[in-house]
Amino acid sequence: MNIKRFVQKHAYLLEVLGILVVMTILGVAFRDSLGLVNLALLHLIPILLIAVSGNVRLTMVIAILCIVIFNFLYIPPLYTFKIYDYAHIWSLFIFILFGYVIARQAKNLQLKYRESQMREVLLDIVSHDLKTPLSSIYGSASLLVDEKKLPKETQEHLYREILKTSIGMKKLITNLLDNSRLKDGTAKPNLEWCDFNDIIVVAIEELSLEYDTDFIDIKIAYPYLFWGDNALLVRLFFNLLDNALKYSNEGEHIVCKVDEAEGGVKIVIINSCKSQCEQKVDRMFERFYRHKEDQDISGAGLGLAICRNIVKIHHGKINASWENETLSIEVLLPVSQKVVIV
Amino acid sequence: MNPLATVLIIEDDIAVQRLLTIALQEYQFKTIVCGTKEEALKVFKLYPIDLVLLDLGLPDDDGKTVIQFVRKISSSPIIILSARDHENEIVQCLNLGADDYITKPFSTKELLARLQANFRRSAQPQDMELTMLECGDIKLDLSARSVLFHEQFVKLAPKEYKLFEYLMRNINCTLSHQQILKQVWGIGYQNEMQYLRTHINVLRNKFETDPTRPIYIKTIHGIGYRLECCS
Repeated sequence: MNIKRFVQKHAYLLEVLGILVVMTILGVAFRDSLGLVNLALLHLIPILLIAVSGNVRLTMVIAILCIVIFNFLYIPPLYTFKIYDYAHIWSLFIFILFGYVIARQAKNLQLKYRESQMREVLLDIVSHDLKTPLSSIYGSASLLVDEKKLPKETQEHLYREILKTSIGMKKLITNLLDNSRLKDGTAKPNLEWCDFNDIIVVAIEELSLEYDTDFIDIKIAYPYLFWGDNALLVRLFFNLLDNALKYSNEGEHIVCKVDEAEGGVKIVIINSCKSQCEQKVDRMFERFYRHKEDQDISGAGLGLAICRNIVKIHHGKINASWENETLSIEVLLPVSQKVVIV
Repeated sequence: MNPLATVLIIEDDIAVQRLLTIALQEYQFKTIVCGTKEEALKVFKLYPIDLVLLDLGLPDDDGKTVIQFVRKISSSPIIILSARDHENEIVQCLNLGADDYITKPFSTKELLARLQANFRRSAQPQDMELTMLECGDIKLDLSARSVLFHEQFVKLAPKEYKLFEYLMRNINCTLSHQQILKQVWGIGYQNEMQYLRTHINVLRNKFETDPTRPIYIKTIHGIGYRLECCS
């Protein structure tokens, strides 16, 4: 099992190593007729192939491997690591330089590609999920400005609509910003001592702008501080509870528990959810995944994907399960050090 | 609250300027609007200003220099307007002497509540020796160093008392983590967040009916804490 995973993970590297072996065999077989220049070019192929993957360190390893092989097999005196001609030392140096330059270029290109991909996705959401609330705000506001004689209740309704929709927009923008920060891979967690009670206080306060949060039963049985990223953990609780509030049947209680678990801390969020939850349990942490029955529920499918990334940054695990019309999301965060709250 | 108080608005975005002016005038404040630091400093020397609303992203300079300038010559409350992810900047501003902050986008209700709280505090006599501090159902007797909650005596450890007294002395004021740690634990403890987190947790358990939905000790996310009192 482990070997299989290793092979899958390093498939590209193994392929390149294979090519290197083939090149070496070809080189040895036709050594006399090819000449040093062509042999060198032959050995640049594997370096080039690994360099385009953008991994500078691996490229250096392969380049050095090529140098060793090249020196041992082709540079006279053969089958020794001795070099007499200075020009040959230069060729070896150029091997490394070649690999380095290409790998750096490839890395830059990859970053740019990833950025452009991200931008495209962002544009997608902006056009879909920001346009809808914006048109609602626009419509309500222009109606209020143009029609002065609207009945009081209608006016009140429109005002509330504007307020509600803008809160939703604020949430979506926050999520988008968090997501791009987490997703670019360069985001480093800002680790500090965190109190789960304090984190939940912030999440609940933010949620109560939009929902009645009295239905959330909170039980914290973890009398320690946790070493983590406070801001990200607030986003974790906010998104998990936001999701629970959005999808649960109205008026039913949501449970949020924080407990001590083996080697760490366990967070469980439980809410009622009809059968539509069963079908999406496996995919709900994917970015932009929305179940087709959820069209009437606002959101871009970002919240739980962000949760997964936050848990990943803390080296934890997140899982969802559905049973008896109840959805429970379980987060396990490993703990290496803790401070007791007295 | 003082209905004729003058608020100096330092903000370069015209839409936000307009929104702030309308909202504040609706509540009987006088307003003066400045778009740049240069202008603001001139106005501040010419007119008596009761409160400053300061946007951090000014075109001609960093807003923080405005705080330093104002603090040299006046103790009028300064409230910072800022975007959400500029927490470090907000903390720096609070440490420089700003009194409070509010993040964009904000509702006018939030803004007015913040303004009123800061006016109330600045109207309080500063030098007079206080003996009793009150916040809702909480009473703190400074001379006896005792705290009553719902008329019941609450037992507090020395550091808990010191922290709580500091919060009570700064009712409705946003205090940064560093400010609190420095004042309560002393210089050199500014980054020892674990002390602050545990003590806040303990205080919440003593003074809040539901510690996860506190009504007194509010967390100001990424910035610090505030003891809130409505009346």
